Amino acid sequence: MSLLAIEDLAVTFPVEDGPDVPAVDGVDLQVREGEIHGLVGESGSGKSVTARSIMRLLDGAEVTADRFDYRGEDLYAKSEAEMRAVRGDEVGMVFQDSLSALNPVMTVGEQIAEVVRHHGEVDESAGLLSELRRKYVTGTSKSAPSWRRAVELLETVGIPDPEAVATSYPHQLSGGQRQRVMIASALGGDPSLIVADEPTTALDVTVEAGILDELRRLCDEFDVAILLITHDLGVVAETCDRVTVMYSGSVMEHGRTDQLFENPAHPYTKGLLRSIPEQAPTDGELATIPGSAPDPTERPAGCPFRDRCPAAFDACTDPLPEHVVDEGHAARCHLYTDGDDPDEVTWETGTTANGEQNGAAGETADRTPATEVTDG
Amino acid sequence: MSTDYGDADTFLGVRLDRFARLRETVAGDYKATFGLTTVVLFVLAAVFAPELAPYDPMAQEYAIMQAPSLSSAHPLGTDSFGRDLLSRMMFGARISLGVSLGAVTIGAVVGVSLGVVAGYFGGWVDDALMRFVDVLWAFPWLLVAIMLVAVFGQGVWNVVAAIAFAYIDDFARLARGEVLSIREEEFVLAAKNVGLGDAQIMIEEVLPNAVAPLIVQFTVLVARAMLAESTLSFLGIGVKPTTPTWGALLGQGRSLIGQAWWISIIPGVAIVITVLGINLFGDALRDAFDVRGEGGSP
Amino acid sequence: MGLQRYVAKRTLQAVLVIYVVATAVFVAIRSIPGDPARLILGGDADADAIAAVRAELGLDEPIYVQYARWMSDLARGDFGSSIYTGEPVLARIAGAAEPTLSIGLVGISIAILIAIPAGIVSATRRDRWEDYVATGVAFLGISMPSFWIGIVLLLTVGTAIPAIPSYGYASISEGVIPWLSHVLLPAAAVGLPYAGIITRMTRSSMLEVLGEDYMQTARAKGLPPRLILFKHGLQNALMPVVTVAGILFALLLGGIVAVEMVFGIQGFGRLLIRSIERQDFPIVQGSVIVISIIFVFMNLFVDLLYMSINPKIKYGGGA
Repeated sequence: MSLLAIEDLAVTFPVEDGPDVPAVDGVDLQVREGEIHGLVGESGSGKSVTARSIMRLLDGAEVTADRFDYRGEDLYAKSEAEMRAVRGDEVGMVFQDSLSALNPVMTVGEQIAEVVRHHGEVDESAGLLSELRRKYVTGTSKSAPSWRRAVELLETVGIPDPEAVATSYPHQLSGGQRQRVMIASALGGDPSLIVADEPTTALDVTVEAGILDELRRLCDEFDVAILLITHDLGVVAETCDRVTVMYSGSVMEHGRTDQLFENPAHPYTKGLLRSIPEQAPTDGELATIPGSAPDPTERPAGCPFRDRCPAAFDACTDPLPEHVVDEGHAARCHLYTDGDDPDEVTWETGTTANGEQNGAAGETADRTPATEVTDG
Repeated sequence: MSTDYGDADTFLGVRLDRFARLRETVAGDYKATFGLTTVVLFVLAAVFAPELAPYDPMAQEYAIMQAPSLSSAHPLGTDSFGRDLLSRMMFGARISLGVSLGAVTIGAVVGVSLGVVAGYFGGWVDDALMRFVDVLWAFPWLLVAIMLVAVFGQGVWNVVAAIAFAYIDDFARLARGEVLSIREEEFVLAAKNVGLGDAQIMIEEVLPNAVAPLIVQFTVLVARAMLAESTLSFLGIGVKPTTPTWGALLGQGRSLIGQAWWISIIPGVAIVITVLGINLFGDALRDAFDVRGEGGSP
Repeated sequence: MGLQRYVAKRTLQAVLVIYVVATAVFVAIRSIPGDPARLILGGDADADAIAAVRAELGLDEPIYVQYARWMSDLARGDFGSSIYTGEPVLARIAGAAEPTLSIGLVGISIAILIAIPAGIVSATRRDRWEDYVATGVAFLGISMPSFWIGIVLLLTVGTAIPAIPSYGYASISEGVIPWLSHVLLPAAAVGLPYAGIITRMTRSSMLEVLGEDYMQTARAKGLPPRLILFKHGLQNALMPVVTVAGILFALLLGGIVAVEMVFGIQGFGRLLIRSIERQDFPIVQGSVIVISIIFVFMNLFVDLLYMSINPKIKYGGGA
């Protein structure tokens, strides 16, 4: 059963003196219990916005969806107070920039302990007055249950010497440590889902590997589902069970990781996979997707990818269909509306299913690979 | 944040479209409109005082001393020497304007020079200059004014000097901060590569980009300078007694509050309105020029 | 740099500044046209008296000797004696200090107690009527000279409410109520501009904090809004305000002096002005130095306060 089920999500940001920005336009997303689900896309694809929509942290935006259920309950039917009970308790969030996402004037231990206290994981008062007294007068006692739990959580996320780290301030820790702190704080309320927005983007590769391992481990041990937002397919390959690929506000393809990597259906997915540096021949040039993502206010009708797609044809101006490739694996692309075999669509030849070279492909072939894809 | 404006048109280093924004801000926001209007009226009154004032500000008419406002041919009344208050206020505007502008300009020139040099060269130059600025900063300006008066007696130039002195550190720090953030920008490094000399770079590249916050600061400090001058004159340690600055007028009326309260209150109202206008206008400038100030990022 | 090094450095700077001020005063007094002895004794002194004072002050000795004597006298607390009353300067100043301190402290306290909540409300209810009112009053406050506010208050509240005197001062030893009733109007006059600046500063600082990422993290944790505001936001917002509040003490000084004149309060400010008028130089000298000392140490205090509440400085450094 799906933990999180989103159907046809659309998020629009109204802009003063300008056209509204349709950041997300028709996204379906399903996250299952205990799985690590990757949400991949370049910057501007709407993945972060989708993530924040789960927590209802998008102030001022217009959010519509046919369905937006968490454990069967409509998140958008809840009042703000009810939503506060969901945030942190059922769904935790990990942000990208750990230095700015952590409060500089509170110890790391306190920032975790307050989550524990607030969601009733321990028997300690968490009312406004007690919290303020704790903050400004007495400090949090090291023997308080919430503090002990915070130290436990720090240890759980792999921080050595958790007692000492708990009394530190964010600026005293390294990037990797801070990211682990954020994860610990997301776990504080014992959630069933953690939304991790590019948790490793700001870290260097070795540190990143450690964090990803940690996430995998937590998922297995604690049965927490993780929605991992990233622009890095390598991360997806390493860590995720299932993947949803987004482009310019829409879903292009989704399925199990192995399905997607071995048998990609959508031209965009194929293009992405092609451009992973590990896939390139050692003596050749790196492959890229020429051009750049459209401005959300100037998105073309129909498939947003058609201006860069080597296989685009006239049907691509129509609204996107859903084509099921395999069980749990689907792509949204017009190339399959006639039921053609996806294998025939490649980036190299730029041919459509019926074997014809078309205008867009011709142009694509002429552009040099040196044109860079705007990346996240 | 400062950026390379490239080919964007600029005037005094501020992009022209910022001026358009200023116009929009002023047109749309009644506070800013009020501010600008007040400032303009004040400047006009100051500049054209000799033509506009109905009476000679020094002319004493013993017959109607301490006449209340609107009681006679004198619209704002007269003081205890029978001098017309309105005329004295208009001439007072001149002096207040001159003193405030003069003081802040001097403070700006000295302060900005110090700050730009300190920020640009860094190292021991920076340390030494900033230490000097710190010492200046620790001097309450009132003390400087007092000492100047003690030594040189009352007078306009003492007031100007004392006030200028107080603002040097403000400008120095601001300019230095701006320079520090611009210095590392690419177009400065590019200019260096091309072989431009340090002074040239400072004047042509660095300074124009730092101008906007300085303009805002200048405006705000002119308002403060007016208040400072009025305080000094009120206390009798500012301009010479016969000079009709608004603060001095207020001071003269102090002992007459019971009988002739308007002599003190009306110049005060003028001060408040003018300073308020300058402050509001300065705020509009700050918004239009995008200087970090009220409000965070959207 | 470490906390101790910083404190040491700042204390050294403080002493340096006071030294510079004392030197400047020395130079200033000797720059006044005329004979310092005659100045000190007043215009009608006879030649013998002048000669005596000249000898006593060592005015015929080389300038560096005079300077050394001046400095050592100051270090011992000997600031000379008032021409007008003959009292030792420090004692005279101390005697006049209570009213001034009262006005200053009460003024600052009222200002802070009103301004900071006003700034917070202004920021959290941005662009609504609470914001407009608070910001409007703040703007007015910073546009009014303290002494004018004092005059207005005197003419309105002072005359309308008999219980609040419009003249003079009552020491706190005579009772809190009399003391407060005399101090209230002057303190309000001095406090209003100060409150205006603090309100605006708090507002802009709070607005900046509200846009910070860690506030969003707090929301993502499901914490209630008031807790987020007061536990996560407040300290961060107040840190810059503390710095500014300290710097602003200097602005208060002019206001207090002027307000004492308006309300006829025999405080330090009035003493200073009268002394300038009467050319009672020892008092003027002494006052200038005393004020500098107070300011320098007040700035130091505020700096240290800031350092103690900002963990980034208190526990500097990182991995």
